[in-house]
Amino acid sequence: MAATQITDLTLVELANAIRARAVSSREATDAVLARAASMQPRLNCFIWTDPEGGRRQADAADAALARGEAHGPLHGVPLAHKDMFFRKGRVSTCGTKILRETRADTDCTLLLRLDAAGAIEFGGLNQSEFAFGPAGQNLHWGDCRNPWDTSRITAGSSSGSGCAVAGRVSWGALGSDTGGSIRLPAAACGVVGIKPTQTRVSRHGVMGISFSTDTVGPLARTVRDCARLFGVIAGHDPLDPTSASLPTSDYEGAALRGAADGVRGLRVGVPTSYYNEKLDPAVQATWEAGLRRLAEMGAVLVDVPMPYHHESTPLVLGIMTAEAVTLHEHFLKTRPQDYAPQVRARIEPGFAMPAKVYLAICSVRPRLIRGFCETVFSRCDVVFTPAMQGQVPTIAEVDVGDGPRMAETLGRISDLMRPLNFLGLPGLVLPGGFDGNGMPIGMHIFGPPFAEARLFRVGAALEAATGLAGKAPPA
Amino acid sequence: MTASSTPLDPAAIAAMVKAAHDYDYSPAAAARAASTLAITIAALERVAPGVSHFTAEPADLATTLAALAPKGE
Repeated sequence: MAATQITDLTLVELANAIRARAVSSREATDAVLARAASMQPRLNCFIWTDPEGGRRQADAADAALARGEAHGPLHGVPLAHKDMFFRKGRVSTCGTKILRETRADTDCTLLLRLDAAGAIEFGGLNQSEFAFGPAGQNLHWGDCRNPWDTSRITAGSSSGSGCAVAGRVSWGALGSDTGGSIRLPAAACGVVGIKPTQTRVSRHGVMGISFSTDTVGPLARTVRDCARLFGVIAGHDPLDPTSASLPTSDYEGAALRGAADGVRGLRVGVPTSYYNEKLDPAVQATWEAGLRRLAEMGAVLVDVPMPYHHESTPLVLGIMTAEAVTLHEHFLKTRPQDYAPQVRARIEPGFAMPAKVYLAICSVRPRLIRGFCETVFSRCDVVFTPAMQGQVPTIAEVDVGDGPRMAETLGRISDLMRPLNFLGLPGLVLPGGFDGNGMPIGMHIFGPPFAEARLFRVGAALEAATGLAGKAPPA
Repeated sequence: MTASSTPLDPAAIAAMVKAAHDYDYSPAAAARAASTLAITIAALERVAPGVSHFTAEPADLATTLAALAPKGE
């Protein structure tokens, strides 16, 4: 198989091809490394690659297969991840020059689970500095560029993850989501990404921003690919005491059922507020087209209110700034000049967040989550919304630094994402269509806590209906 | 400290942050902090007006989310 054919395979197709020994892991690794080298000047999605280590792991995977040993559902599949998942002794930059020489003292549980599933890790992906920044810009490592139009943002903060998956330089990637950071790059880059229920996925060995709202999840080219990765990483981790002990589900099976059986009888919530405000006409049209598709497949559309949504963004920012500043205080005081001005400007308000306000938000949060779920999920099974209010902006349009337009500019990108981080709910983003510039428009499906399998089922049904699965950017 | 009280004074906030944390806000940073705090307090007042902190629940997110999980999924 030619290298371009290999990199065009979906993750599941590649895993199957390796297992059937139609493609070797070494061939796949060589193909993706060659493409990564050729695309890096255009996309800037890697902070580092490890060709030697990747090939060594690939050779070991091939040798194991030759002995009749296949370790798991990702056997021999090369992956790169946002550069904030630690391996003992290795530098993870977290997108900042401050940590450029800091070696991790622990192994990220999720990387170990991917290892156990047979995956190969060959690179670290660009990201917003310290995962702060929905536009995905990075002053230190350079901006990651959208494979659909390199003048436009990838969104962030998992900018490299969205870019690499869309750009065919990784079959999947881990990202993190504290305010939309998985779902926004999935939307802007035309791929699939899931933010899990808070506590569903371990955060041990992951750079933190806000321990009450940080989540980790995968991005991939198709819903099924994403479900396979999610099935590998989800579940309780004794090293992360905040991780839930509830059993996991058959996520990939749910995606397969959705693609095959559709969503007949499913109650799909259509928000009567918040998500229908300030929408660009192309986004509105794509959302309505998605709702029509769901109805044509037999889903029942139900108008639903969105309680606490206008309050969720300031409340989650109150939590996030207070928690982030506790992590960043030392570097803010000793190396303030080494932060990008916008990143520093977004963390600094935490110094002024009184304990009384922070604790009041934390105290009221469970009641609001319960109230939201009882109001909304008594009427519907999932909610379907756009992922972003507007079309994917150009890098120049969002280059506002820490100036007076910062809050409005970043809010326009991320406002539809933040409520789920406050409510702790799972949300899946997938491509819904394209705007007049040929840029992807992402759609967002969310549900009650721990209903990730349901989201994969609905997402796969919708993906089958739109025919957008794995659609590639122009070469 | 309520949403309807006097607007927060950035200079006073900068002085408080300096005294409490030994951190120097620029005038712009102080203004952003005042704005963030005011917006956060206003949102809190809207969702929890007059909440008694004697009856407030602990922030046990895991228990809350697990209790709301659909059965059989």
